[in-house]
Amino acid sequence: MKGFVKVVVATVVLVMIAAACSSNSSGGGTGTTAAPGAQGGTFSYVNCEPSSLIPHNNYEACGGQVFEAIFTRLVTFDFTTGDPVPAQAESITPSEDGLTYTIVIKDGWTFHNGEPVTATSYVDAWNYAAYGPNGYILNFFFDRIEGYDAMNTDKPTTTELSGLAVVNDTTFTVTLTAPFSQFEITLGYDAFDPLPAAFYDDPDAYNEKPIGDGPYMMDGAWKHDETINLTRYPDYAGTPGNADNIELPIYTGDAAWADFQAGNVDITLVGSSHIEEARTSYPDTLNAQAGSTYLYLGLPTYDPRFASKELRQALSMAIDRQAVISAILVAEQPANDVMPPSIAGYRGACQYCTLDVAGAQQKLADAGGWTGELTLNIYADDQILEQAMEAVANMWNENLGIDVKLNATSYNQYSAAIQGHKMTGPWWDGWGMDYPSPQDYLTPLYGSNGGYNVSGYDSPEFDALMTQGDEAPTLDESIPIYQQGADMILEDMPVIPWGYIGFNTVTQPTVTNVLKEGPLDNVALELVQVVQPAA
Amino acid sequence: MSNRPTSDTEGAADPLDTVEGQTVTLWSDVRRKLKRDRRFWIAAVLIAIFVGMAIAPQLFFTDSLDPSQCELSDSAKGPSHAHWFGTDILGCDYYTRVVYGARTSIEVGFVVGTLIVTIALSLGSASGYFGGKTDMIISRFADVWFSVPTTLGAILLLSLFGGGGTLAVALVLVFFGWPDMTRLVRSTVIGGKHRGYVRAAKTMGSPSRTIMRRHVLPNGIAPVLVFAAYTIGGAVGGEAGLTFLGVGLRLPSISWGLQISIAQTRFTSDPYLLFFPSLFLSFLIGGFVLLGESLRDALDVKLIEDA
Amino acid sequence: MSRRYLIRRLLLVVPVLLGTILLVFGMVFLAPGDPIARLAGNKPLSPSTIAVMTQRYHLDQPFVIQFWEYLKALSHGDFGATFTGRDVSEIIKERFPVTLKLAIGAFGIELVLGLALSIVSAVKRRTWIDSSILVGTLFMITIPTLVVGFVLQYVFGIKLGWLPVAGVQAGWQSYVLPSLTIGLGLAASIGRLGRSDILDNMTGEHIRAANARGLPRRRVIGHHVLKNSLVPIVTILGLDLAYLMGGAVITETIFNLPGLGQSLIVGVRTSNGPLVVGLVMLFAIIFVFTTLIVDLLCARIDPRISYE
Repeated sequence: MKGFVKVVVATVVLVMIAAACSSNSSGGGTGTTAAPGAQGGTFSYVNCEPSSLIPHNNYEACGGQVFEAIFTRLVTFDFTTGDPVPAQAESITPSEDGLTYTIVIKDGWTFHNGEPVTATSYVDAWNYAAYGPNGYILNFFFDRIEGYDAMNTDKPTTTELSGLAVVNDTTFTVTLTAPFSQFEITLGYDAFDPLPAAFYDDPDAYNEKPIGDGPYMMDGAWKHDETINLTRYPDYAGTPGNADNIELPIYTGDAAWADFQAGNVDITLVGSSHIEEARTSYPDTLNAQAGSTYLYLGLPTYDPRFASKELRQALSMAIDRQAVISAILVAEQPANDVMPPSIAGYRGACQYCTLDVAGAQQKLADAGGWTGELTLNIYADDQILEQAMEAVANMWNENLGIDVKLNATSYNQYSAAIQGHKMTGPWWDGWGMDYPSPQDYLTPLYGSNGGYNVSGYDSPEFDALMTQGDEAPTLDESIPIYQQGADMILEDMPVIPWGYIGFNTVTQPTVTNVLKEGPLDNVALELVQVVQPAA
Repeated sequence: MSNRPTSDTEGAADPLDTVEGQTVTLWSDVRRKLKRDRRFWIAAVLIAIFVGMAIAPQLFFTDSLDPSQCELSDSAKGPSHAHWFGTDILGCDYYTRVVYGARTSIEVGFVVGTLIVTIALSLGSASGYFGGKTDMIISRFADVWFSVPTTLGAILLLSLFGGGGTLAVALVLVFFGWPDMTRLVRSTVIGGKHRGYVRAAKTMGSPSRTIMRRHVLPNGIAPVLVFAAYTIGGAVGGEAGLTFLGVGLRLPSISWGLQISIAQTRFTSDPYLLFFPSLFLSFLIGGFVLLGESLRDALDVKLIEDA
Repeated sequence: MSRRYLIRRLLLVVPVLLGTILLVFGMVFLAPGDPIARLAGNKPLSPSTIAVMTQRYHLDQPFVIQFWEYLKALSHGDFGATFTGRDVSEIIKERFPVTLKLAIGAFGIELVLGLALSIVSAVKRRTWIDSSILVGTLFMITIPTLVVGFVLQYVFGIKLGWLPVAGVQAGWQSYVLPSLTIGLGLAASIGRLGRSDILDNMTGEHIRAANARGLPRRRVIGHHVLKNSLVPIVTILGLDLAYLMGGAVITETIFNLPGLGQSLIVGVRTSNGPLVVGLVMLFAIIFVFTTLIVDLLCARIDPRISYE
């Protein structure tokens, strides 16, 4: 998710926090179904300017919310259990060795331009995104598929993934380089969307008016920085959307909230700066839920001063998360696990995540105390976050007697220091998932080869557990294994769990049935109903 | 007064334009005028209060108000008997915090004012006095900086390099703000150069440095003084604006800009958080605006023609 | 005005613009951090994607080459592309009308209200009208723009619901509150400045002479006083207009106007180098030309200026 560490509590860029990378359409008919007669009408939902409307080249929530409505992907997630369910797919079947998946798609589906959705629509799109020279942002999502490396050398000799094969119009196979029990879940992400043949004629033109296979289609071209309008796709083969038209006006700042208060927009998300107002002004329609972004304070375990796990536990136990969240980061929820509640595998199992001053002082003593100043790092330009971290600094100071200094740097320097293992003290950070699997909250962050292992955690035992989870024959069997890994992290504390970004919606009385899309941070637009004025 | 000892480029004849008596007459006249000007006194009192706050903030409140005593449970409580301005979102006493904010603003104003005046006097007078190539180079150099609006340039520079403390913000404001006054000094000096006494001194063979110090600069100082008051006011506002946009100061700095920036997110629920720092900021800027205006009228300076 | 003056002024624009481009480009080039890494937040982009992007934006080239490439493109009006692949020229084309409309609105308020205030308070000097104008304008000058913006938005947009609070969907009405937010403060300073300027001129010899000759007061003020006060006010107005065209960053942010200033802040926040350079460059160009026009205009009003 683009720049999300920066925007996690940013009050200004509120809307960008909306979702982690994932989004999808529940056109397959999961979730609450519309009451008969509740169809029709137009509603508007606050959105932000997408970086691109080509799903394979977009990594942020503004685009994600659009794709939610204009695409139906292979897999969606059950609203209550969070389990993956086939949507555009008829069936997804792994082979005995877990290496090859046979994907059968539903017959008779069409893109918004009338083109049929076929196995080729998927295979060609994936090949295009995986081809290095195209420079697509989501390129790396395909690195588990056989043949990826050959397409991403300096001078690739092939433009097709050897692991993809079209069997017939509705069937194709995917061969992975190693078994991956979570593969079906990953198919719920935009990187695996199908594209119509029209895309390849002119990708730039496509970007201005994307053609998907979802319940809604573009109503006119993308009006940059103003609005994206959608209308119901009449020939949609799945469960049709409720409203006739959807407007997604684009905001860049706090003005969204002002516009909502003035009654000009029907649905908006609320961040920390306005949730108190929302509680008093819109108590009936405020729906506060934990989103999928996991926030934590990173710790430089590569720095010998932070090598002791007792010290890391002490730092964690000396913070009163709830107090900071109640007063300052009002839209968040305190963490009690290394993954948010919406993820299968969440237990709330953290034993060092609540304030325990005596326990923290004991742990600090066990660790041999702390000498000198502790630097708490933040990125510049988010003053609310600064206030929160100032409060954390005060707590470490009062409860552990540690002298804490806040250090703010520009975002670029900040992220370079994090990723280059150059941090000298704890830092504010967060992780947004790509797909709702416990694996995505563990391997990238703590695996010794993890893509975002910024704390420098390195444990062969943990790595082995992750591999074991990946090789589990079914999703259900993989979860307890990943949970063992989570237990290691909760004990070793390479990062201090902090909280989850809230996904808080408020609505005008003009709309009902505004639902968060299960584990994904989107509003399920196709389910929203417009209240028709009484005749 | 139709004839002014000003920056008029054509160098109008001036009744005070005599080599010896000039400065004396000018300044006593100014003093007399300022004493009669209500704006000057209001400005003086306002600025004195804020400078006092900057130097010794603890004089402005009793011991019972400790700015470092913050209780998160007291977060954002409105004004009360115990907390005159209420508490901020960290639960600290807002009155003491706002009083402490004066120091930052005064510091920024002072640094920016001093540096810009120094740069403007040296570059501007060199440019105006020597003319020719020197003037050409300095003027074009100034034009380049002048063409990047201060706010935009400052946003760019501060965001690219991660901003920093009071000094960094002040320096960035100087970096993009110096050309205005430099141009003013230059044209004042050009105007003064053609005056009788300067020509006389030149004819008598005084070295240029002496001429500049004794004759050209004193005459040019009046518009600089006026402009400096506006510049300081502008710098104080500039810091607050940059901080509001998220590229200026940050904790542990205590600044009105920072307070305003945090307060704006809670504008509708806790308007007092926005009100108090804005009020102080307005009073301080207002002080400098009034000072500038009273000086302008007393010194009878016109800034605009040549700025 | 002499033609030589005109030509000289025009020729001077070239080195100044080159210097400005160098200045802005240099700052962005020297900034620490990798702008490409930022595109996916903290997610690891694949090496092949990074390689393609680096090449596309010439990021692997030394400064001189990058600068040259940029100048070359700029000379055909191409401001380059943002890191998300949009043409900066296209963004400018789309957003410029918004900024222009806001600038015109604010400028109109500044001009009309500012001149009205200055004339009224000068003519009614030392009456209660003058005093209240003086206090009111001082208040408007010192109160921070964002406070004005929030208050206007809250009172007239949200509470009373008279005017739109965000976006440009409602046509000209969308620009009323933003224009007032900027225009009121500017009008206030023109009001104060104009007042003292007019007063200066009203006490001048020729005005006294005109009064003595028994010319009607309205004519004296209209003809003699205003004309003499014009040059300084036009200069100030011109500078203000130039700044306004540079996008009102704070106001556009508060009212969600898709103008240039808002784009700049988004560019800065997302470290979108090409966008930021392009916009600041555009502002500089607008600024240079606006001030040039104002200078020429002043030279026209007061021919003495061109002798300088």
